[in-house]
Amino acid sequence: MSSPQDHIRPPRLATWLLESFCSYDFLSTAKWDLEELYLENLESKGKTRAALVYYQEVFGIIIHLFFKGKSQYSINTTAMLKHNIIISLRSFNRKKGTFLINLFGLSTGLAATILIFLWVQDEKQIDGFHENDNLLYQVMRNAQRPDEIRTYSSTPIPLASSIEEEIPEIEKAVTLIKPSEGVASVDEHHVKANVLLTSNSFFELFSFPVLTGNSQNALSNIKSVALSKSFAEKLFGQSNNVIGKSLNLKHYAHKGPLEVSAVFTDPPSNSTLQFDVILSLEVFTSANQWAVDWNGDEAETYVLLTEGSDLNSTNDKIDKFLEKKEPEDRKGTQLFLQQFSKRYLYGEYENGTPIASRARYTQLFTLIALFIVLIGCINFINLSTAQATQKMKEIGIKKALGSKRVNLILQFLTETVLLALIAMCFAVLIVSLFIPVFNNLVSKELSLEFTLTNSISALGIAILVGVFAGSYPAFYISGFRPISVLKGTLSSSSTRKSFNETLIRKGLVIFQFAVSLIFVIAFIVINQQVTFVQTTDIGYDRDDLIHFKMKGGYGYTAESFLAAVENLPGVVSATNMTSGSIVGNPGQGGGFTWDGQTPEQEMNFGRPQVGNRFVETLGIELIEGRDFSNEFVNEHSKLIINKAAADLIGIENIIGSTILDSDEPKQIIGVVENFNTHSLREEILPTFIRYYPKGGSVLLRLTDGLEQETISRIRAYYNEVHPDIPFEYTFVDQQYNNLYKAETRVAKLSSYFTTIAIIISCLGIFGLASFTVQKRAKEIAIRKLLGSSINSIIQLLSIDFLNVILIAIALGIPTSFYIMNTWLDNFAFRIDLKPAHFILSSLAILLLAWLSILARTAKSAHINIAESLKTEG
Amino acid sequence: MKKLTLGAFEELVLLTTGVLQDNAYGVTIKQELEKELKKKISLGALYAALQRLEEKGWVSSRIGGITEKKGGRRKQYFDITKEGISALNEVREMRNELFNRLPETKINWLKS
Repeated sequence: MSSPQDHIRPPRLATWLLESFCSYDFLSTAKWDLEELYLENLESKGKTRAALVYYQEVFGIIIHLFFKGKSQYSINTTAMLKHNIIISLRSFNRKKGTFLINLFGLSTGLAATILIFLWVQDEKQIDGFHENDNLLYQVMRNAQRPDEIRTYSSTPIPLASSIEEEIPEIEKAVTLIKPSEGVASVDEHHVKANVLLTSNSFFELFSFPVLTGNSQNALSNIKSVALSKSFAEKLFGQSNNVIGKSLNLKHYAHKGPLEVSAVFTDPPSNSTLQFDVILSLEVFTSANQWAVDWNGDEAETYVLLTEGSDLNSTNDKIDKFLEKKEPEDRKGTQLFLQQFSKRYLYGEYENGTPIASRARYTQLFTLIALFIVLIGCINFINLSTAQATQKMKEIGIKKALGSKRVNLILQFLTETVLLALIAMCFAVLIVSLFIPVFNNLVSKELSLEFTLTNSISALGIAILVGVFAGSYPAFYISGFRPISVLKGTLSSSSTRKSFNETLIRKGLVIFQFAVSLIFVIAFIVINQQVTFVQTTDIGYDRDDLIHFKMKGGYGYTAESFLAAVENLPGVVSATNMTSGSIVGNPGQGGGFTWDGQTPEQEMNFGRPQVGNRFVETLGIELIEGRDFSNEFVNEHSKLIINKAAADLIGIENIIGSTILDSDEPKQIIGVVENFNTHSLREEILPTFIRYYPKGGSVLLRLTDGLEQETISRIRAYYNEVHPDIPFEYTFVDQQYNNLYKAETRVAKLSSYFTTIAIIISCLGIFGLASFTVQKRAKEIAIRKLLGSSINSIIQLLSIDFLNVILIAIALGIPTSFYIMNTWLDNFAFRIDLKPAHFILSSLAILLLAWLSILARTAKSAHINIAESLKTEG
Repeated sequence: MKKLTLGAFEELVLLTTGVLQDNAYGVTIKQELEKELKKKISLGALYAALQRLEEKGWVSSRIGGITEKKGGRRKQYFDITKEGISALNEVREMRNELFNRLPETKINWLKS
């Protein structure tokens, strides 16, 4: 039992507050009275009310005695805080230039940090909204390829039910077939749909709440379908009363009538799974028994682990699962689990292990934000140590009057923290102004929300930055010895110290400019590489080339469709291929053999399947032989190869020689120049182009300048033959540019951050220059008096700074060379780093720094000699 | 010398202090005032008033010891001084004098 003494103790925080603000006469009086009141209230009103009244009275006393009354009632710390804040405000007011430079530097730095923080936070939250997030994993598959391990997300359909039964750590597993396009119709109203195939437990694993209908059995009936809210509205005009209504679906998995069984909330924008219709997986599997096979990888498998289960032991159990089921075909195939929400940031794999593909960029930008804040802090450190001499008298007197070093340090820290807090306010303002621009750049919908955690972290960051920027000047300035300070002999008696001090200041400036230089070089190199990948010759002509998909089953064939389209005015030529556009065409694999092939040559090949006039339509350069054409018969047993393949096979007069495609002999009829089907990060594979004229991916070459008219003609024809599917096309050059979205974004963002870094650094050096000029005003006047020219004075004042910048350049160049080379190595096709990059950026930095120094020194070289010599001091 | 003035709230506090005689300290003054005025009085406002009254010399204070109530704890007692009484008198006289000068007819007319 607690002692009665504890029980009757009034709230401690309130007492502490009272003690901090009231020190003399009324403190004890107030405490006695308050305690009596508290005890009375405790009996009559209970503990909470009593405490509440206590707080109320304490605030009343503080307001009346401290704020309305006189400050003598506060204890020392409070009085000192008030004093320090007043001193800081006065010093801001006295040195407006320095204050503005510091404020600008810190607030832009903090604004950049906030923006980047919001962005990184948003990236991390992608797919993290599922309630079971920490237990929700995806089964990944590692397949042994001749030269490497390749990782896939696709797995066999029967896997989910088997692992759920056989592995106790797996609470639930669900099979899911990735969303694909279809068309839903009610009467004659057609709406394009993104159709996902799965089963009931989908709703238990993922958090896409069901609004109406029962999530337990929404997909139990194979003829039932679940719709997203917005899709139901699009299709039926409303979403409240659609259960039981029927619709017609056209999708590869199912064609025919279905009944709506549930409506779920739209997948949020931070979900990587985007779909609007969920179909029962069974409707597909019952009609396509071949798909339910341990050999095919038709689906994706997600699992929910049991609470508290060990991931490693689960991974051990699942590792050889597929190999056990199909020992022959699946030799060397391994399965492993990866947390679903981690897949967005760590979505690429290198030899079977996840790599931080997107996370790399979030890390990079966090680092950039950190550097910008650092540059802003350096400005503060430099300017305040440089101006320390002006504070010497103040320090000397304070020390002589008995001020402790701690108090002085606190005084300077108050100043920086105050500055940082003001800067934070401006930063928030800047962010709220620029957030639409930033959103546009990173294509997100970020917003600045003033939640409690956000405000506290902003406050925390501001204080942290303030303490960081202020600590060195605070220790440095408070370390002056009062005697030498008051005698004014500091500079002469402690040369060692002032030497150190200049060294540190110079070091910091070097750091600032080296970082700025690295930013500039990175900016130039990234932009040039992006321009390079966007303009370089990739082996085919991607201008005026459009791509769209054609759906089969409308009583015509791809050949007849193409022949009709090709006859439209404005269409130069037409071809088709399977599995998507030329950009990112997924046709890859092994399976080609020839006489004299060595085991190392059994590798991953490109193997697109294309229709007639492919080489001609794409504008690929034909080195030897001919294109596929419907004028010849038996094109199915012919191959066109690229130069890389020809070099690999390495026989002369390769046209006419025979190669085995699996076990079918095919004759080579043409050799074409290498062309890129993927991004320039990847090498060009030796490619065997196969003939398949029925592919649903259409590529059309249009006449330059007539694109829009031609497209409307194509649309008209397309709508004639596919009345219920909207015509959607893309330009191939756009598809290609989309491959470099991340790089383009970095290039754009880097221009902003580089500008900010340079401006802050230049302002810093401007501030330092103006300080030097002030300090040497007499010297300049005397030199002028003795006949020194303006140029020589400017030279004298600038030379010190220029030396520092030169050192910064000398350090920045090798660092940026290393960094940019590492980045460019990500690309198989890259620009070379040229001396011009480095020389130009160094010159730019040098020029900017010199201009900022000149802006200050030139003015001082024109000073009135009499003015500056007249005054003593 | 500047004439010392007695504010309305100060007057009430001063009166209460006198009324409570030996038992005038923060809590009792507050409670008495709350009873009379029928509204909440903040201790802070009370202290501010007492502080001003003490500066003007109209109340004196002493630290009192043990009372019979609740085991007894120390408290600061306030007493009205001679000057305090005369200040009260002065205010009262002034008020009475002004009141007497109110025209009888006007009062009667307003009453009816």
